Amino acid sequence: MGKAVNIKKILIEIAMILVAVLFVSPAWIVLTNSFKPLGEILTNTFGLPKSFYLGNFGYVLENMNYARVFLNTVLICVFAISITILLSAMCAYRLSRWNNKISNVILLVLMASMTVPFQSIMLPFAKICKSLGLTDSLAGIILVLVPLYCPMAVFIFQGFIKSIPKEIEEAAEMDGCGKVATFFRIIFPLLKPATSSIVVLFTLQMWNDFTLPLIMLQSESKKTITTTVYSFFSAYSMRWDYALTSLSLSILPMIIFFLFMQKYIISGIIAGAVKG
Amino acid sequence: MKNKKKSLVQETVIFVLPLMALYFVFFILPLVEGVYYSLFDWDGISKTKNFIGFKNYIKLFTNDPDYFISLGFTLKYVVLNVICTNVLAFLLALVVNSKLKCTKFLRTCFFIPNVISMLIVGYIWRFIFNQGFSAIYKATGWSFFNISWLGGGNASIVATVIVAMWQGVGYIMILYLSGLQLVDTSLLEAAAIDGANKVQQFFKVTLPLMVPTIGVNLFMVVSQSFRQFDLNLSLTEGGPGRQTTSLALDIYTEGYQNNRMGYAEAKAVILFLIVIGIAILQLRLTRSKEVEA
Repeated sequence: MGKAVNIKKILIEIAMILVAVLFVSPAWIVLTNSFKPLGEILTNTFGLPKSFYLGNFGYVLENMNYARVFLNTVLICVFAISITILLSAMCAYRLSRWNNKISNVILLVLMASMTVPFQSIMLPFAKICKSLGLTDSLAGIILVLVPLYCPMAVFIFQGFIKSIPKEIEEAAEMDGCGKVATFFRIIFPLLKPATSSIVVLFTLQMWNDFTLPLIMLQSESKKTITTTVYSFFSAYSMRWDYALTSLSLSILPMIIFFLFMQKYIISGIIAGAVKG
Repeated sequence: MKNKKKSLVQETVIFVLPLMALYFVFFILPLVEGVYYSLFDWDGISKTKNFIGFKNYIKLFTNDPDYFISLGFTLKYVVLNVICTNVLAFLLALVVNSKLKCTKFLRTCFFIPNVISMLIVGYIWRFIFNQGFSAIYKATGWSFFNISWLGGGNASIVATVIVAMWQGVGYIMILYLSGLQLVDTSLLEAAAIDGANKVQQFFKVTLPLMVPTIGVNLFMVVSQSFRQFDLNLSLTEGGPGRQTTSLALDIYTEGYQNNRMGYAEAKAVILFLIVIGIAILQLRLTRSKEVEA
């Protein structure tokens, strides 16, 4: 009896591992095919590369301007996320401490705006950005990312701030600490768990975002990874060798990021969704 | 008293105003402007706008078969995606929550596609559906792999759902997992003592306790599916014809390729109303459920 149960258990384990491997295989196939010349991709699609061919990477790294667009994407994420976090934490702090009609209405509007699809404000949004001279500039896209991502950040922060007792800041003020100093010295450090959730969540979202950079950034030297892959793939749609390598180069950074930050990403997702 | 007022103004200016000013200019303003533009016949560039009232909306619903193709595709896609993603995510969450030894590995595998951009996911699957499937067909002769998945019709809707599900299921699985971990195991044990088998335990204890989580997740996938844009662009380019053009992609092409700003905005307002309508419905439903509990 005991043995039969054990064998059944092992079989289920093996079956589930096979399902999981099959599940990730599309990404795996793209990665392995990046190391094959075009002819081999067509004749040996699923096997491992016969030789470790690096020609695709050499060509794509140079023609995709990879180093530059990688840097652009990193810069956009770092600055936009820092500014969003700072402004949202400050705003969420005051709004949840006021806890009056006006602050509740503001919070409600912010929350409702999380459901609005970006495409339904996209065209007037692009027009406003253009008239303010924000298009085709990294600083410009960083500035407009802040209001687009702030509702989620304010929402996560204000839920967190509610659990911080008011007495802490009252004591600080009694000691002669100003409102701003109280926030930066006492409140902001306490928000660290919420802040780290937001950082990983927004890194994934901003890195992978396509629509906003598509309408904001036109010159090749300012594009992000997703928009560069978009134009690269259109130009090389007949060349799977180059096209697939550009895909590999775009997915590898995020997969590595995920494998290292898995714990934080998963707790971030849960923090962002418990709104109902 | 005066001092208090002064400090309130100060607080507002320092803490709340910077973010709210940005939010107003780049969110509220475009939303309002969009509604305004939808009442004009305008290309978005020229100085003269022709006020035409609700004619854009009337044309949309009476004289634009293309729009109904997009609407039909989007609705079918949303319904199919919401059901399939949630069922699969729930099943995967049950597996990952089980006593198997490899659950960490499984969770990682099922989540990985979620860290890839939807645009890239579309391209990956374009390769799988074209080159990958034709290679499998040559090797096996199974007709499943000879269907032209991206060639239009229902096959393309199914293909889009498969790909969206591949990317999105890990995220929803995590949310179900966090719901399952809150289910009180003593309730399950009590049911087991009363003679309920595993299936009965699931349907009588676990499932009712998961209703709030299911509500949140249904809504999540609905609102994600309605804003689907990059996947349609990269997987099928909205084609053949307009067969896989989602409402969100349609707004983009109307505004940026056809240069019909007024008409595109009418479409944008409709999309907005659909999504907000569903959000309100969802809110009502969960509220009434809470009262019952």
